[in-house]
Amino acid sequence: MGIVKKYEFENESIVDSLIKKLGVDTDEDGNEYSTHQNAIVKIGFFATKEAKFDDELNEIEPPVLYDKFCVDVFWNDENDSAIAEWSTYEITIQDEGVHKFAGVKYISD
Amino acid sequence: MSLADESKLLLIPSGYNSGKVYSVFPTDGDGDFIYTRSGDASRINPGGYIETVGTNIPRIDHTAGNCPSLLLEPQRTNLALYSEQFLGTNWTSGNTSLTSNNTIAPDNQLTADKLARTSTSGSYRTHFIYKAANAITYTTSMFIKQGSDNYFAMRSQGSYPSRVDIRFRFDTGLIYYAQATSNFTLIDYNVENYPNGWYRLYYTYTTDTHTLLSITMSPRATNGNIDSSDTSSNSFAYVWGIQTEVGNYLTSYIKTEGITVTRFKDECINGGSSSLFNITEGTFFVDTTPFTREANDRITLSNNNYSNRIFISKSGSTQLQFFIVSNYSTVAIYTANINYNERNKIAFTFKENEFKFYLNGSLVHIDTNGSVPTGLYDLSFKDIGSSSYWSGKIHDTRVYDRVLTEAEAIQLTTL
Repeated sequence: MGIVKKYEFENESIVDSLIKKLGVDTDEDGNEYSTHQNAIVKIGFFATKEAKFDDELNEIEPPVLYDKFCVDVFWNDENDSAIAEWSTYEITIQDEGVHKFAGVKYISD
Repeated sequence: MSLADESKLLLIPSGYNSGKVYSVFPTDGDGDFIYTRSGDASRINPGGYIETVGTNIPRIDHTAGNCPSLLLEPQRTNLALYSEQFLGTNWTSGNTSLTSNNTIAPDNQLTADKLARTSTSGSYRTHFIYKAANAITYTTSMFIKQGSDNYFAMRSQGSYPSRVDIRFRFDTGLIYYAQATSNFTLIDYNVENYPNGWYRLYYTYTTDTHTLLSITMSPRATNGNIDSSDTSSNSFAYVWGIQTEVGNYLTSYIKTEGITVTRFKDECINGGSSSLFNITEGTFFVDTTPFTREANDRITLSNNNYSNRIFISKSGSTQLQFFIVSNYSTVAIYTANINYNERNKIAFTFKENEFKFYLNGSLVHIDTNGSVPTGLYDLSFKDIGSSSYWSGKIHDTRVYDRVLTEAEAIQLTTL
Protein backbone atom coordinates (compact mmCIF):
# COMPACT_ATOMS: atom_id res chain seq x y z
CA MET A 1 0.00 0.00 0.00
CA GLY A 2 1.47 3.34 -1.04
CA ILE A 3 1.29 6.73 0.61
CA VAL A 4 1.82 10.33 -0.53
CA LYS A 5 4.01 12.59 1.57
CA LYS A 6 5.11 16.19 1.03
CA TYR A 7 8.50 17.66 1.79
CA GLU A 8 10.38 20.94 1.66
CA PHE A 9 14.13 21.53 1.60
CA GLU A 10 16.48 24.46 1.80
CA ASN A 11 17.82 23.54 -1.62
CA GLU A 12 17.66 20.84 -4.28
CA SER A 13 20.98 19.23 -3.42
CA ILE A 14 19.61 17.98 -0.08
CA VAL A 15 16.81 16.06 -1.74
CA ASP A 16 19.16 14.81 -4.46
CA SER A 17 21.35 13.17 -1.85
CA LEU A 18 18.34 11.57 -0.17
CA ILE A 19 17.08 10.29 -3.52
CA LYS A 20 20.46 8.78 -4.26
CA LYS A 21 20.33 6.86 -0.99
CA LEU A 22 17.06 5.25 -2.13
CA GLY A 23 19.02 3.34 -4.75
CA VAL A 24 20.87 4.11 -7.96
CA ASP A 25 22.79 1.99 -10.40
CA THR A 26 24.80 2.73 -13.51
CA ASP A 27 24.11 1.37 -16.97
CA GLU A 28 26.69 0.30 -19.57
CA ASP A 29 26.92 3.89 -20.85
CA GLY A 30 27.69 5.25 -17.40
CA ASN A 31 24.25 6.81 -16.93
CA GLU A 32 22.84 6.64 -13.44
CA TYR A 33 19.28 5.39 -12.99
CA SER A 34 17.15 4.88 -9.94
CA THR A 35 16.41 1.39 -8.70
CA HIS A 36 13.75 2.26 -6.12
CA GLN A 37 10.04 2.01 -6.82
CA ASN A 38 8.86 5.35 -5.43
CA ALA A 39 7.46 8.21 -7.53
CA ILE A 40 9.29 11.44 -6.79
CA VAL A 41 8.21 14.81 -8.16
CA LYS A 42 10.41 17.85 -7.75
CA ILE A 43 8.03 20.80 -7.59
CA GLY A 44 10.82 23.25 -6.83
CA PHE A 45 10.30 26.84 -5.73
CA PHE A 46 6.68 27.44 -6.72
CA ALA A 47 5.11 30.88 -7.08
CA THR A 48 3.06 32.11 -4.13
CA LYS A 49 2.16 35.28 -6.04
CA GLU A 50 1.92 35.40 -9.82
CA ALA A 51 4.04 37.67 -11.97
CA LYS A 52 2.36 40.52 -13.85
CA PHE A 53 2.88 41.18 -17.55
CA ASP A 54 2.10 43.84 -20.08
CA ASP A 55 0.28 43.13 -23.35
CA GLU A 56 3.52 42.05 -25.01
CA LEU A 57 4.29 39.54 -22.26
CA ASN A 58 7.02 41.64 -20.74
CA GLU A 59 7.24 41.01 -17.02
CA ILE A 60 6.32 44.18 -15.13
CA GLU A 61 6.19 42.59 -11.69
CA PRO A 62 8.11 39.42 -10.83
CA PRO A 63 6.49 36.47 -9.10
CA VAL A 64 7.00 35.82 -5.43
CA LEU A 65 8.52 32.38 -5.02
CA TYR A 66 8.23 30.16 -1.97
CA ASP A 67 11.62 30.01 -0.30
CA LYS A 68 11.79 26.22 0.08
CA PHE A 69 12.39 23.56 -2.56
CA CYS A 70 9.28 21.38 -2.52
CA VAL A 71 9.04 17.69 -3.36
CA ASP A 72 6.14 15.23 -3.39
CA VAL A 73 6.80 11.51 -2.97
CA PHE A 74 4.50 8.57 -3.50
CA TRP A 75 6.09 5.90 -1.33
CA ASN A 76 5.29 2.58 -2.91
CA ASP A 77 5.46 0.92 0.51
CA GLU A 78 4.12 2.95 3.39
CA ASN A 79 6.43 0.99 5.70
CA ASP A 80 9.56 1.90 3.74
CA SER A 81 12.33 2.58 6.26
CA ALA A 82 13.47 5.60 4.25
CA ILE A 83 10.31 7.46 5.23
CA ALA A 84 11.78 7.95 8.70
CA GLU A 85 14.98 9.36 7.23
CA TRP A 86 13.00 11.87 5.19
CA SER A 87 10.71 12.82 8.09
CA THR A 88 12.88 15.78 9.11
CA TYR A 89 11.79 17.51 5.92
CA GLU A 90 8.13 16.42 5.88
CA ILE A 91 5.39 19.01 5.94
CA THR A 92 1.72 18.52 6.61
CA ILE A 93 -0.84 20.61 4.77
CA GLN A 94 -4.62 20.57 4.70
CA ASP A 95 -5.16 20.04 0.99
CA GLU A 96 -3.23 18.75 -2.04
CA GLY A 97 -1.07 21.90 -2.16
CA VAL A 98 0.36 22.77 -5.58
CA HIS A 99 0.71 19.24 -6.98
CA LYS A 100 -1.04 15.89 -6.85
CA PHE A 101 -0.69 12.39 -8.21
CA ALA A 102 -3.45 11.39 -10.62
CA GLY A 103 -6.02 9.29 -8.82
CA VAL A 104 -4.12 9.06 -5.53
CA LYS A 105 -5.08 11.34 -2.66
CA TYR A 106 -2.68 13.00 -0.24
CA ILE A 107 -5.36 13.17 2.41
CA SER A 108 -7.50 10.08 2.82
CA ASP A 109 -11.28 10.45 2.78
CA MET B 1 -1.87 -23.40 -38.83
CA SER B 2 -0.58 -19.84 -38.78
CA LEU B 3 2.72 -18.75 -37.26
CA ALA B 4 0.82 -17.15 -34.40
CA ASP B 5 -0.84 -20.46 -33.53
CA GLU B 6 2.56 -22.13 -33.12
CA SER B 7 3.92 -19.77 -30.49
CA LYS B 8 4.45 -20.92 -26.91
CA LEU B 9 3.65 -17.42 -25.70
CA LEU B 10 1.57 -15.00 -27.73
CA LEU B 11 0.72 -11.53 -26.44
CA ILE B 12 -1.56 -9.52 -28.70
CA PRO B 13 -2.77 -6.93 -26.22
CA SER B 14 -6.53 -7.10 -25.91
CA GLY B 15 -7.57 -9.01 -22.81
CA TYR B 16 -6.89 -7.52 -19.41
CA ASN B 17 -8.08 -7.24 -15.86
CA SER B 18 -6.93 -5.24 -12.89
CA GLY B 19 -3.22 -6.02 -12.53
CA LYS B 20 -3.18 -8.45 -15.47
CA VAL B 21 -2.46 -8.41 -19.18
CA TYR B 22 -3.65 -11.69 -20.67
CA SER B 23 -1.68 -13.55 -23.29
CA VAL B 24 -3.51 -15.39 -26.06
CA PHE B 25 -1.23 -18.42 -25.59
CA PRO B 26 -0.83 -20.34 -23.42
CA THR B 27 -4.41 -20.49 -22.26
CA ASP B 28 -3.62 -21.74 -18.75
CA GLY B 29 -2.44 -18.35 -17.49
CA ASP B 30 1.28 -19.21 -17.52
CA GLY B 31 1.91 -16.54 -20.12
CA ASP B 32 -0.07 -13.74 -18.49
CA PHE B 33 1.76 -10.61 -17.39
CA ILE B 34 1.59 -8.73 -14.10
CA TYR B 35 0.67 -5.12 -14.68
CA THR B 36 1.15 -2.32 -12.15
CA ARG B 37 0.44 1.39 -12.21
CA SER B 38 -0.66 3.46 -9.25
CA GLY B 39 -3.39 6.01 -9.87
CA ASP B 40 -5.27 7.18 -12.95
CA ALA B 41 -4.08 7.44 -16.53
CA SER B 42 -5.73 8.04 -19.88
CA ARG B 43 -6.00 5.97 -23.03
CA ILE B 44 -7.83 6.12 -26.35
CA ASN B 45 -10.81 3.78 -26.08
CA PRO B 46 -12.24 1.71 -28.97
CA GLY B 47 -14.55 4.60 -29.85
CA GLY B 48 -11.56 6.88 -30.33
CA TYR B 49 -12.26 8.97 -27.24
CA ILE B 50 -9.89 9.77 -24.39
CA GLU B 51 -10.85 7.80 -21.33
CA THR B 52 -9.44 7.68 -17.81
CA VAL B 53 -8.67 4.29 -16.29
CA GLY B 54 -7.89 3.64 -12.65
CA THR B 55 -5.12 2.03 -10.61
CA ASN B 56 -3.60 -1.14 -12.10
CA ILE B 57 -5.84 -1.09 -15.18
CA PRO B 58 -3.62 -1.74 -18.22
CA ARG B 59 -4.00 0.78 -20.99
CA ILE B 60 -5.08 -1.00 -24.14
CA ASP B 61 -4.86 1.90 -26.53
CA HIS B 62 -6.75 2.42 -29.79
CA THR B 63 -5.04 5.57 -31.11
CA ALA B 64 -6.13 6.52 -34.64
CA GLY B 65 -8.49 3.56 -34.81
CA ASN B 66 -5.60 1.15 -35.15
CA CYS B 67 -5.45 -2.35 -33.72
CA PRO B 68 -5.09 -2.15 -29.94
CA SER B 69 -1.66 -1.87 -28.37
CA LEU B 70 -0.41 -1.93 -24.80
CA LEU B 71 0.64 1.59 -23.80
CA LEU B 72 3.68 1.72 -21.51
CA GLU B 73 4.75 5.21 -20.44
CA PRO B 74 7.07 6.72 -17.85
CA GLN B 75 6.01 8.98 -15.02
CA ARG B 76 5.12 12.44 -16.33
CA THR B 77 3.67 15.66 -14.89
CA ASN B 78 1.38 18.09 -16.70
CA LEU B 79 2.66 21.53 -15.69
CA ALA B 80 -0.11 23.43 -17.50
CA LEU B 81 -2.84 24.45 -15.06
CA TYR B 82 -6.55 24.35 -15.93
CA SER B 83 -5.82 22.17 -18.93
CA GLU B 84 -9.45 22.21 -20.07
CA GLN B 85 -10.46 25.70 -18.88
CA PHE B 86 -7.73 27.92 -20.39
CA LEU B 87 -8.23 30.52 -17.67
CA GLY B 88 -7.46 31.06 -13.99
CA THR B 89 -4.11 30.94 -12.23
CA ASN B 90 -1.16 31.61 -14.55
CA TRP B 91 -3.36 32.46 -17.58
CA THR B 92 -3.77 35.80 -19.36
CA SER B 93 -6.35 36.56 -22.06
CA GLY B 94 -4.39 38.97 -24.36
CA ASN B 95 -7.12 40.25 -26.74
CA THR B 96 -8.95 36.93 -26.82
CA SER B 97 -12.31 35.77 -25.53
CA LEU B 98 -13.24 32.36 -24.27
CA THR B 99 -16.62 30.60 -24.34
CA SER B 100 -16.45 27.70 -21.93
CA ASN B 101 -17.87 24.23 -22.59
CA ASN B 102 -18.92 25.13 -26.12
CA THR B 103 -18.44 21.86 -28.00
CA ILE B 104 -17.78 18.16 -27.50
CA ALA B 105 -14.17 17.49 -26.52
CA PRO B 106 -11.93 14.55 -27.41
CA ASP B 107 -13.15 12.79 -24.25
CA ASN B 108 -16.74 12.95 -25.62
CA GLN B 109 -17.77 15.45 -22.93
CA LEU B 110 -19.06 19.00 -23.40
CA THR B 111 -15.87 20.56 -22.04
CA ALA B 112 -14.09 22.10 -25.03
CA ASP B 113 -13.91 25.88 -25.24
CA LYS B 114 -14.26 28.37 -28.08
CA LEU B 115 -11.20 30.61 -28.25
CA ALA B 116 -11.68 33.79 -30.31
CA ARG B 117 -9.64 36.82 -31.30
CA THR B 118 -11.01 40.22 -30.33
CA SER B 119 -8.63 42.30 -32.42
CA THR B 120 -6.80 42.29 -35.74
CA SER B 121 -3.63 43.15 -33.86
CA GLY B 122 -1.81 40.61 -31.71
CA SER B 123 -4.42 38.36 -30.05
CA TYR B 124 -3.14 35.50 -28.00
CA ARG B 125 -3.99 33.63 -24.80
CA THR B 126 -0.99 32.73 -22.64
CA HIS B 127 -0.17 30.28 -19.91
CA PHE B 128 2.90 30.78 -17.68
CA ILE B 129 5.06 28.12 -16.08
CA TYR B 130 7.70 28.98 -13.49
CA LYS B 131 10.82 26.91 -14.00
CA ALA B 132 14.36 26.41 -12.76
CA ALA B 133 17.11 28.63 -14.16
CA ASN B 134 18.50 26.04 -16.54
CA ALA B 135 17.76 24.78 -20.02
CA ILE B 136 14.99 22.18 -19.86
CA THR B 137 13.45 20.01 -22.57
CA TYR B 138 9.65 20.20 -22.65
CA THR B 139 6.95 18.77 -24.85
CA THR B 140 3.92 21.02 -25.21
CA SER B 141 0.69 19.71 -26.72
CA MET B 142 -2.85 20.88 -27.23
CA PHE B 143 -6.07 19.67 -28.84
CA ILE B 144 -7.61 22.04 -31.38
CA LYS B 145 -10.58 21.90 -33.75
CA GLN B 146 -11.41 24.19 -36.62
CA GLY B 147 -13.80 27.03 -35.95
CA SER B 148 -14.14 29.92 -38.35
CA ASP B 149 -10.83 29.91 -40.18
CA ASN B 150 -7.85 27.94 -41.37
CA TYR B 151 -4.88 28.80 -39.17
CA PHE B 152 -3.69 28.31 -35.59
CA ALA B 153 -0.40 29.48 -34.10
CA MET B 154 1.44 28.56 -30.90
CA ARG B 155 4.59 29.80 -29.23
CA SER B 156 6.74 28.73 -26.29
CA GLN B 157 8.95 31.58 -25.09
CA GLY B 158 11.61 32.19 -22.47
CA SER B 159 13.46 35.50 -22.37
CA TYR B 160 12.45 37.28 -25.61
CA PRO B 161 13.45 36.65 -28.37
CA SER B 162 14.26 33.06 -27.31
CA ARG B 163 11.27 31.02 -28.42
CA VAL B 164 9.73 28.38 -30.67
CA ASP B 165 6.90 29.28 -33.06
CA ILE B 166 4.66 26.79 -34.79
CA ARG B 167 1.89 27.37 -37.32
CA PHE B 168 -0.86 24.88 -38.20
CA ARG B 169 -3.35 24.71 -41.09
CA PHE B 170 -6.69 22.97 -40.66
CA ASP B 171 -7.16 22.23 -44.39
CA THR B 172 -4.00 20.10 -44.52
CA GLY B 173 -3.95 18.98 -40.87
CA LEU B 174 -0.25 19.80 -40.72
CA ILE B 175 2.17 22.03 -38.87
CA TYR B 176 3.60 23.82 -41.89
CA TYR B 177 6.02 26.10 -40.05
CA ALA B 178 8.15 25.43 -36.98
CA GLN B 179 11.01 27.68 -36.02
CA ALA B 180 13.28 28.09 -33.00
CA THR B 181 14.82 31.47 -32.27
CA SER B 182 17.82 32.53 -30.23
CA ASN B 183 18.46 30.24 -27.22
CA PHE B 184 15.61 27.80 -27.84
CA THR B 185 16.14 24.56 -29.76
CA LEU B 186 13.33 22.78 -31.60
CA ILE B 187 13.62 18.99 -31.33
CA ASP B 188 10.43 17.60 -32.83
CA TYR B 189 6.86 18.48 -33.79
CA ASN B 190 3.88 16.69 -35.26
CA VAL B 191 0.11 16.30 -35.22
CA GLU B 192 -2.15 13.42 -34.11
CA ASN B 193 -5.66 13.06 -35.56
CA TYR B 194 -8.67 12.45 -33.34
CA PRO B 195 -12.35 11.86 -34.15
CA ASN B 196 -14.75 14.71 -34.90
CA GLY B 197 -12.19 17.02 -36.44
CA TRP B 198 -9.85 17.25 -33.46
CA TYR B 199 -6.06 17.47 -33.80
CA ARG B 200 -3.45 17.16 -31.09
CA LEU B 201 -0.53 19.43 -31.95
CA TYR B 202 2.72 18.82 -30.15
CA TYR B 203 6.24 20.13 -30.23
CA THR B 204 9.37 19.33 -28.24
CA TYR B 205 12.00 21.92 -27.51
CA THR B 206 14.79 22.90 -25.17
CA THR B 207 14.44 26.26 -23.45
CA ASP B 208 16.85 28.97 -22.45
CA THR B 209 17.75 29.47 -18.79
CA HIS B 210 15.00 32.01 -18.10
CA THR B 211 12.88 31.18 -15.04
CA LEU B 212 9.59 31.73 -16.84
CA LEU B 213 8.16 29.78 -19.77
CA SER B 214 5.14 31.22 -21.56
CA ILE B 215 2.92 29.08 -23.78
CA THR B 216 0.85 31.19 -26.14
CA MET B 217 -1.88 30.33 -28.65
CA SER B 218 -3.85 32.20 -31.26
CA PRO B 219 -6.59 31.32 -33.78
CA ARG B 220 -6.01 33.11 -37.08
CA ALA B 221 -7.60 33.76 -40.47
CA THR B 222 -4.22 34.20 -42.14
CA ASN B 223 -0.69 32.88 -42.00
CA GLY B 224 1.45 34.27 -39.17
CA ASN B 225 2.85 33.90 -35.70
CA ILE B 226 0.79 34.40 -32.56
CA ASP B 227 1.65 38.10 -32.32
CA SER B 228 1.34 38.97 -36.01
CA SER B 229 -1.60 41.14 -37.02
CA ASP B 230 -4.44 39.36 -38.82
CA THR B 231 -7.22 40.26 -41.24
CA SER B 232 -9.83 38.98 -38.80
CA SER B 233 -10.79 40.43 -35.44
CA ASN B 234 -13.04 37.50 -34.52
CA SER B 235 -11.42 34.38 -35.91
CA PHE B 236 -11.99 31.43 -33.58
CA ALA B 237 -11.08 27.79 -32.96
CA TYR B 238 -11.99 25.20 -30.35
CA VAL B 239 -9.39 24.22 -27.76
CA TRP B 240 -9.01 21.55 -25.11
CA GLY B 241 -6.43 19.61 -23.16
CA ILE B 242 -3.23 21.66 -23.05
CA GLN B 243 -0.23 19.84 -21.62
CA THR B 244 3.38 20.80 -21.00
CA GLU B 245 5.57 18.02 -19.67
CA VAL B 246 9.29 17.72 -19.06
CA GLY B 247 10.55 15.15 -21.54
CA ASN B 248 11.57 14.68 -25.13
CA TYR B 249 8.39 13.05 -26.40
CA LEU B 250 4.63 13.37 -26.10
CA THR B 251 2.73 11.17 -23.66
CA SER B 252 -0.93 10.55 -22.99
CA TYR B 253 -3.15 13.37 -21.78
CA ILE B 254 -3.09 14.29 -18.07
CA LYS B 255 -5.99 16.48 -16.92
CA THR B 256 -5.24 19.35 -14.54
CA GLU B 257 -7.22 21.99 -12.72
CA GLY B 258 -5.62 24.42 -10.25
CA ILE B 259 -2.51 22.34 -9.53
CA THR B 260 -0.06 20.25 -11.52
CA VAL B 261 -0.76 16.51 -11.83
CA THR B 262 1.57 13.52 -12.16
CA ARG B 263 0.70 10.26 -13.88
CA PHE B 264 2.61 7.21 -12.61
CA LYS B 265 4.66 4.92 -14.84
CA ASP B 266 3.37 1.63 -16.28
CA GLU B 267 4.99 -1.71 -15.45
CA CYS B 268 4.28 -4.96 -17.29
CA ILE B 269 6.38 -7.90 -16.13
CA ASN B 270 6.67 -11.63 -15.37
CA GLY B 271 5.09 -13.25 -18.42
CA GLY B 272 5.92 -16.93 -18.78
CA SER B 273 7.29 -19.66 -16.54
CA SER B 274 10.18 -22.12 -16.39
CA SER B 275 8.06 -24.90 -17.89
CA LEU B 276 6.81 -22.66 -20.68
CA PHE B 277 10.31 -21.50 -21.65
CA ASN B 278 12.07 -24.83 -21.08
CA ILE B 279 13.54 -24.68 -24.58
CA THR B 280 16.93 -25.38 -26.13
CA GLU B 281 16.27 -23.33 -29.24
CA GLY B 282 13.67 -20.81 -30.19
CA THR B 283 12.54 -17.47 -31.54
CA PHE B 284 11.73 -14.29 -29.61
CA PHE B 285 9.64 -11.72 -31.46
CA VAL B 286 8.54 -8.22 -30.46
CA ASP B 287 6.44 -5.74 -32.45
CA THR B 288 6.76 -2.37 -30.74
CA THR B 289 6.65 1.38 -31.23
CA PRO B 290 9.52 2.53 -28.99
CA PHE B 291 9.17 6.05 -27.68
CA THR B 292 12.20 8.33 -27.96
CA ARG B 293 15.04 7.16 -25.77
CA GLU B 294 15.42 8.93 -22.45
CA ALA B 295 17.18 5.95 -20.85
CA ASN B 296 18.29 2.45 -21.84
CA ASP B 297 14.78 0.97 -21.67
CA ARG B 298 14.69 -2.78 -22.19
CA ILE B 299 12.53 -5.77 -23.04
CA THR B 300 14.02 -8.90 -21.49
CA LEU B 301 13.49 -12.65 -21.75
CA SER B 302 15.61 -14.07 -18.94
CA ASN B 303 16.14 -16.24 -15.91
CA ASN B 304 15.58 -13.02 -13.93
CA ASN B 305 19.32 -12.77 -13.54
CA TYR B 306 22.05 -11.13 -15.58
CA SER B 307 23.52 -14.57 -16.39
CA ASN B 308 21.07 -15.71 -19.08
CA ARG B 309 18.98 -13.29 -21.09
CA ILE B 310 17.86 -12.14 -24.48
CA PHE B 311 17.04 -8.47 -24.58
CA ILE B 312 16.37 -5.37 -26.63
CA SER B 313 17.78 -2.08 -25.36
CA LYS B 314 17.33 1.50 -26.49
CA SER B 315 20.68 3.08 -27.27
CA GLY B 316 21.81 6.46 -28.52
CA SER B 317 19.44 8.80 -30.29
CA THR B 318 18.50 6.46 -33.13
CA GLN B 319 19.45 2.95 -32.13
CA LEU B 320 18.24 -0.31 -30.70
CA GLN B 321 20.68 -2.91 -29.46
CA PHE B 322 20.00 -6.65 -29.47
CA PHE B 323 21.81 -8.94 -27.01
CA ILE B 324 21.94 -12.64 -26.26
CA VAL B 325 23.77 -13.53 -23.04
CA SER B 326 24.51 -17.11 -21.98
CA ASN B 327 26.16 -17.90 -18.67
CA TYR B 328 27.29 -14.24 -18.36
CA SER B 329 28.91 -14.33 -21.79
CA THR B 330 27.52 -12.16 -24.58
CA VAL B 331 27.19 -14.62 -27.45
CA ALA B 332 25.51 -12.25 -29.90
CA ILE B 333 25.13 -8.49 -30.10
CA TYR B 334 23.95 -6.13 -32.81
CA THR B 335 23.20 -2.43 -32.98
CA ALA B 336 20.58 -1.23 -35.45
CA ASN B 337 19.57 2.24 -36.52
CA ILE B 338 15.84 2.69 -36.21
CA ASN B 339 13.25 5.44 -36.08
CA TYR B 340 11.84 5.93 -32.61
CA ASN B 341 8.10 6.58 -32.35
CA GLU B 342 7.54 4.32 -35.35
CA ARG B 343 6.62 0.67 -35.43
CA ASN B 344 9.55 -1.80 -35.41
CA LYS B 345 9.33 -5.58 -35.68
CA ILE B 346 12.24 -7.46 -34.15
CA ALA B 347 13.00 -11.20 -34.03
CA PHE B 348 15.84 -13.22 -32.53
CA THR B 349 16.31 -16.86 -33.46
CA PHE B 350 18.66 -18.88 -31.31
CA LYS B 351 20.14 -22.35 -31.14
CA GLU B 352 23.60 -23.71 -30.37
CA ASN B 353 26.16 -21.78 -32.47
CA GLU B 354 23.50 -20.02 -34.54
CA PHE B 355 22.01 -16.68 -33.54
CA LYS B 356 20.15 -14.50 -36.03
CA PHE B 357 18.63 -11.04 -35.66
CA TYR B 358 15.82 -9.80 -37.90
CA LEU B 359 14.54 -6.25 -38.09
CA ASN B 360 11.61 -5.00 -40.15
CA GLY B 361 11.73 -7.74 -42.75
CA SER B 362 15.50 -8.17 -43.07
CA LEU B 363 18.03 -10.57 -41.61
CA VAL B 364 20.45 -8.01 -40.17
CA HIS B 365 22.99 -10.07 -38.22
CA ILE B 366 24.27 -13.62 -37.68
CA ASP B 367 26.55 -14.97 -34.95
CA THR B 368 27.82 -18.54 -35.24
CA ASN B 369 29.46 -19.25 -31.93
CA GLY B 370 28.00 -19.69 -28.46
CA SER B 371 25.58 -21.55 -26.25
CA VAL B 372 21.93 -20.86 -25.78
CA PRO B 373 20.77 -19.04 -22.62
CA THR B 374 19.30 -21.48 -20.12
CA GLY B 375 16.72 -21.39 -17.37
CA LEU B 376 14.60 -18.73 -19.05
CA TYR B 377 11.30 -18.12 -17.30
CA ASP B 378 10.59 -14.40 -17.24
CA LEU B 379 9.49 -12.10 -20.05
CA SER B 380 9.31 -8.52 -18.83
CA PHE B 381 9.10 -5.08 -20.40
CA LYS B 382 12.08 -3.91 -18.35
CA ASP B 383 15.65 -4.90 -17.48
CA ILE B 384 16.62 -7.32 -14.69
CA GLY B 385 15.67 -5.82 -11.32
CA SER B 386 13.52 -2.73 -10.94
CA SER B 387 14.88 -0.54 -13.67
CA SER B 388 14.87 0.44 -17.34
CA TYR B 389 11.15 0.00 -17.91
CA TRP B 390 10.23 0.00 -21.59
CA SER B 391 8.38 3.07 -22.82
CA GLY B 392 6.45 2.54 -26.00
CA LYS B 393 3.55 0.65 -27.48
CA ILE B 394 3.49 -3.14 -27.59
CA HIS B 395 1.59 -4.51 -30.57
CA ASP B 396 2.62 -8.17 -30.46
CA THR B 397 5.10 -10.35 -28.54
CA ARG B 398 5.87 -14.04 -29.08
CA VAL B 399 8.19 -16.82 -27.96
CA TYR B 400 8.54 -19.97 -30.07
CA ASP B 401 10.23 -23.23 -29.13
CA ARG B 402 11.77 -23.61 -32.55
CA VAL B 403 13.99 -21.56 -34.82
CA LEU B 404 11.79 -19.97 -37.43
CA THR B 405 13.10 -20.31 -40.96
CA GLU B 406 14.54 -17.21 -42.55
CA ALA B 407 11.45 -16.95 -44.74
CA GLU B 408 9.16 -17.20 -41.71
CA ALA B 409 11.17 -14.69 -39.67
CA ILE B 410 11.25 -12.25 -42.57
CA GLN B 411 7.51 -12.64 -43.06
CA LEU B 412 6.88 -12.13 -39.35
CA THR B 413 8.99 -8.99 -39.13
CA THR B 414 7.88 -7.33 -42.35
CA LEU B 415 6.05 -4.08 -41.63
